[in-house]
Amino acid sequence: MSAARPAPTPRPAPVGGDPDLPDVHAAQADREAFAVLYRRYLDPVYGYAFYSLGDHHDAEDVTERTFLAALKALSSFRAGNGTFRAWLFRIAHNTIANAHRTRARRRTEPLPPAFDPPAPHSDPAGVVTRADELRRVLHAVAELPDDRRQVVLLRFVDGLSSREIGQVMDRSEGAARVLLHRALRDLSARLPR
Amino acid sequence: MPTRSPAERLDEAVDRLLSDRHPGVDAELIPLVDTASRLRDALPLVPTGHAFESRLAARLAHPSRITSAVAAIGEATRRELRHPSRLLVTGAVSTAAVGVSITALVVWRGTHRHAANR
Repeated sequence: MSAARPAPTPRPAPVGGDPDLPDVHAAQADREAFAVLYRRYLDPVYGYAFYSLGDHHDAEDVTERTFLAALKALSSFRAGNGTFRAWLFRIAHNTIANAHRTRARRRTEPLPPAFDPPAPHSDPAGVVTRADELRRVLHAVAELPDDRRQVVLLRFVDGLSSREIGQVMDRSEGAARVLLHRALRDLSARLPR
Repeated sequence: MPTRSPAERLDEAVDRLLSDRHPGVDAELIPLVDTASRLRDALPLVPTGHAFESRLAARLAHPSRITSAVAAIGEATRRELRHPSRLLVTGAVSTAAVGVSITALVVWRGTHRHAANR
C-alpha cells in the first residue's frame, strides 16, 4: 500500500446494490487492493470520529482502530447483510462508543469541537460569517441526544442513507428516519435564522 | 395508496437535497429542510493530516510483529481479566514460586559459606 497521498478514490455511481462491492471483492482476494477502499473512506471515517469526539488525536486513534479492524475482518464481510460503507461505519460507530466509555472511566469531559475553517476565501467577512455559522451548528448538534447526533453526522457529514444508518446503529430504516426527523425538528428550534 | 409519514417525506427531501436536486416539499416540512440545508453547508468533511494517512497506510500494508505481539498480550490480558480467580491463582503461584526460589538460593549460599568456613 503506497504511503504517498493520492486523491481519494471516488465512490462509484450506485447501479443498484452496493457500488463498493467490486473493490471489496478485490480486497478480499488481494490485501493490497484494500488501499482503494482506504483512500475512499479515510476522510469520511475520520470526519465522523472527529465530529463525534471533538478531538483530532482521539479521532485519529478511532480511525486507525477502525481500518485495522476492518482489514482484519474483511473476509467475513457478506454483501447480503448491507453495504460495505454501512459495515465500515458500524465498526467506526462501535469504536467511537468504546472511546466514549474509556473517557467516562477516566472521567474526562468531551472537548468542544475545535475546528479550523477551510481555506480562506478572498472575502474576509465571508470567512468570519462561515466560521460563526459552523460554531453555531456544531454547538447545536453537540446538544442533541447521542442517537440523534449520530444520525445527523452520518447523514450530513458522510451522506449515508437512512437504510445504511439503520445498519450502522442496529435500528430499522424507519427508526433511523424518525430519529432524523426529530433531530431536524430539535435543530430547527435551536438554530433560528 | 397509503399516506407516507412526515419522516418518510422528509427523508426523501433530504436525499434530493444531498444529491443537489430541488427538495420540493410541502409547507409543513420547509423549516426542517431549510435546517438540513444549513447542516449540509456548515459541516464540511474534515481532511486527515498527510503524516497520519501515510503512517496508517504503512500499518495496513505491513502490520508489524510488534502489533501482533501487542494484540496477543491485549487478548491474554482480556482473557485473564474475564476470570479474576484465574488471575489471583496465577499471581499466588508466581509469588510462591519466587519465594521458594529465593529461599532455596539463600539456603544454598548459606550451606556453601558454611562449608567454606570449615
